[in-house]
Amino acid sequence: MGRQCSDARVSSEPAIAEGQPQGRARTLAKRVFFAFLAFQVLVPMTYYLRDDAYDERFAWRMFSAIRLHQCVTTATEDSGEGFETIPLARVIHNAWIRHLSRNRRDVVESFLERRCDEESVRAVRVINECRGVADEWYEHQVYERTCLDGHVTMPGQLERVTP
Amino acid sequence: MSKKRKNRKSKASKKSSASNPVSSVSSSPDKARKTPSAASKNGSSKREAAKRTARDPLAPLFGGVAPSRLNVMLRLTLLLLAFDCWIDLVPHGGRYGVGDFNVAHFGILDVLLPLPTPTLYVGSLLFTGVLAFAMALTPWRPGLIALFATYTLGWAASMLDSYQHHYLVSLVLFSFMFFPLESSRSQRSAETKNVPWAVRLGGLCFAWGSYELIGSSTGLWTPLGALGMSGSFRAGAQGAVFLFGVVSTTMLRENGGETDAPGKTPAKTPAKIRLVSAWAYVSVCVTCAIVYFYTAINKLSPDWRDGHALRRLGRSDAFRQLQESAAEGWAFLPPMDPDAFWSLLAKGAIAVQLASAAGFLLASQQDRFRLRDVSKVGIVALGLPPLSFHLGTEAMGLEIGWFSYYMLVIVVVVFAPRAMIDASVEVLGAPARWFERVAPKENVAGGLALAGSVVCALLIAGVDLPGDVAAGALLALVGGVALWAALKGGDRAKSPALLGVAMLLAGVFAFVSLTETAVRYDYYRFVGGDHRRRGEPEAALAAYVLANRYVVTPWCVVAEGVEPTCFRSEEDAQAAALAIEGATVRRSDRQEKEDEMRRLVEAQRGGGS
Repeated sequence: MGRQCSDARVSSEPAIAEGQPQGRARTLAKRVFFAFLAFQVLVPMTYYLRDDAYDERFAWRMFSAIRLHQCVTTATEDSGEGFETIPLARVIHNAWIRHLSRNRRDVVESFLERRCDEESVRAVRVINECRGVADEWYEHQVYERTCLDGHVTMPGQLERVTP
Repeated sequence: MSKKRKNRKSKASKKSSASNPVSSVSSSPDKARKTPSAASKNGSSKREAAKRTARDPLAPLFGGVAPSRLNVMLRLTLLLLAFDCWIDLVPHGGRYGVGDFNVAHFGILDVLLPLPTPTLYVGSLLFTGVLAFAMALTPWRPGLIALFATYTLGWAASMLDSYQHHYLVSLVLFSFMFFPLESSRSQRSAETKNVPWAVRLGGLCFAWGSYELIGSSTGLWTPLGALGMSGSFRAGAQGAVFLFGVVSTTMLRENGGETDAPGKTPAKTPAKIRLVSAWAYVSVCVTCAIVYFYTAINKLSPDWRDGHALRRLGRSDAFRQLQESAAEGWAFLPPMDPDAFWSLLAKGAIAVQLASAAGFLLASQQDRFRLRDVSKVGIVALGLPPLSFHLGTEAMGLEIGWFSYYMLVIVVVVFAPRAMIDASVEVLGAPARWFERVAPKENVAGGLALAGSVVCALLIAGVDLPGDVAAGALLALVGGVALWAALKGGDRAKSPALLGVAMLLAGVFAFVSLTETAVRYDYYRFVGGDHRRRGEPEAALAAYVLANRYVVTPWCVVAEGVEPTCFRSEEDAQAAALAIEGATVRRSDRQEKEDEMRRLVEAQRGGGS
């Protein structure tokens, strides 16, 4: 390879592209790009500012340790004779049960509200017993709604109970 | 910026405009070729433009991309999206609206669309798939906007769809709305118009070889696999096809001028390289970089770094073998116990994702520069981390939908050298260019659009899934709009003809995807299973009857340690079973469940009467 060849074919200088937006079109393109960029950077960041460790949507936390928690869900309701188990598989689709077991708060809240619409139900409770990837156990995640006043109790910070 | 630095930059840009052939690209290359004098008159303005480009801090955004790269990224992603909608998403549509319960991803949708039903969800998927397919063949901005809206609404309407990559696809579709759109013919750049046949063949082999290598790693159907090749023979053939593609597209194209062929003297004038300003392409690359960056951040937690999470994910044969080989010791590392192995792998994954993020940002700029060969190899090498990561996730057998396929397509398009992409487009785009040349105009085009849309609508309406008729009606409406556009006439009159053919092909591919695969069988057996669990035997029976009617490959060969393979006929399955030791043939459908539900229903009716 001689110098002639490399001179002809190699350069690190940029080329000029066709169709470069000019004037207002350029300003608009710039604004759309940077607004879109800011949106994409900020949305995942909100996960780290929230107190809900389980809601990993839009945070690009694929294959996270939290996502791999295995939780056993039980749902109970008080219809005047103490808390009784709700047969979840007969009430909602399996996919929603998985969401309950993943501690998706929006889903849990909607489920509690939905059960409160049933006649004579006074209170509804969802409990998740969760185990982490290193087989450690976490404090039970307890969600409860009092149907009369609509008061909802949510679990606190996610904490390990066994190392 | 200091005066000294400014002077240096100015000198550099002057030098560039004088000596750099790449920058001598007219905004209309065809015109420039026809009138050389006009081209020389424009020389000074081009030099000025080159200076401006060198100084522009937004050059990475507006600087330019090979049109072929835009073309391939848009079309391949949309094609993948179409099949994703039909094959991977439709089967799960039956769970929408069950128990009158739904939670949307965004509160406003709970108000606007409180209860998506299978009819609405499956119907919108059928429509979205056809639209994606049609837009892949003939991109049209209003269609891309509609595609972004319908696809995003599809997943956002319910948390039942919680795949993170659907959000990613929506972000990519958002950027696609701003892609520069040109017809296949005008997209051809000066250097690709007279490409020798050896290079075209190389382009075909590069595309085919890439698909073979990715397809065989991820369990997809591939032509060489269908020919019965297996093991090292198949791997060798795949490698040979791919390497032939790489060598013939790079070596021949790099041999000098724009029409170099074997045996010809390389032209003195270097190739004119056409670039198109496409900030939306940069946006797609930045989106990917952000995804990899945050994914790496997520993995900094102790549970990941210690390897616990990856160990739980990597319970596949491939990883078990890797772990065993690590225990014996690799060439450059001492023997590792399982804890050390998984921890090393986990930390490696973090490094891979950070490298992928950086790679996407750098590769997005590769077309702006005429790179030295070593730099080209460097860019390709930057593509290896994301490529290995997504092939690895497929090897793990995780339930992540078609995420890896989308990323593999994007990785290949972004990181491959331009010569390979150009050559692939040149040969694979030939049918589209031919049709654009011969396509009828005005009223005939409108008629073609309407006919294509009507046939597509009839095919979709006949698949026997919820929402099929509504989707078909909507597609017929699209044909009506195209007809209206055609009757308006003008230069755009060819578009409806293309749209008509695209709709027709979309209808045919949708019909085949929905009826000749397990889509309908899966859809109805899932529905049947849900009704059975909820104690609704009559509804379960109806669903199981349909599932058994639509089972495509009921005869399966089952053997220990081997993935079951299913066939249409018992004879084929028996013949295949003979080749596997200890294999048996079993019927895999929902006949037993159907019989069970029938007995239950009859018992209920008997009890009732």
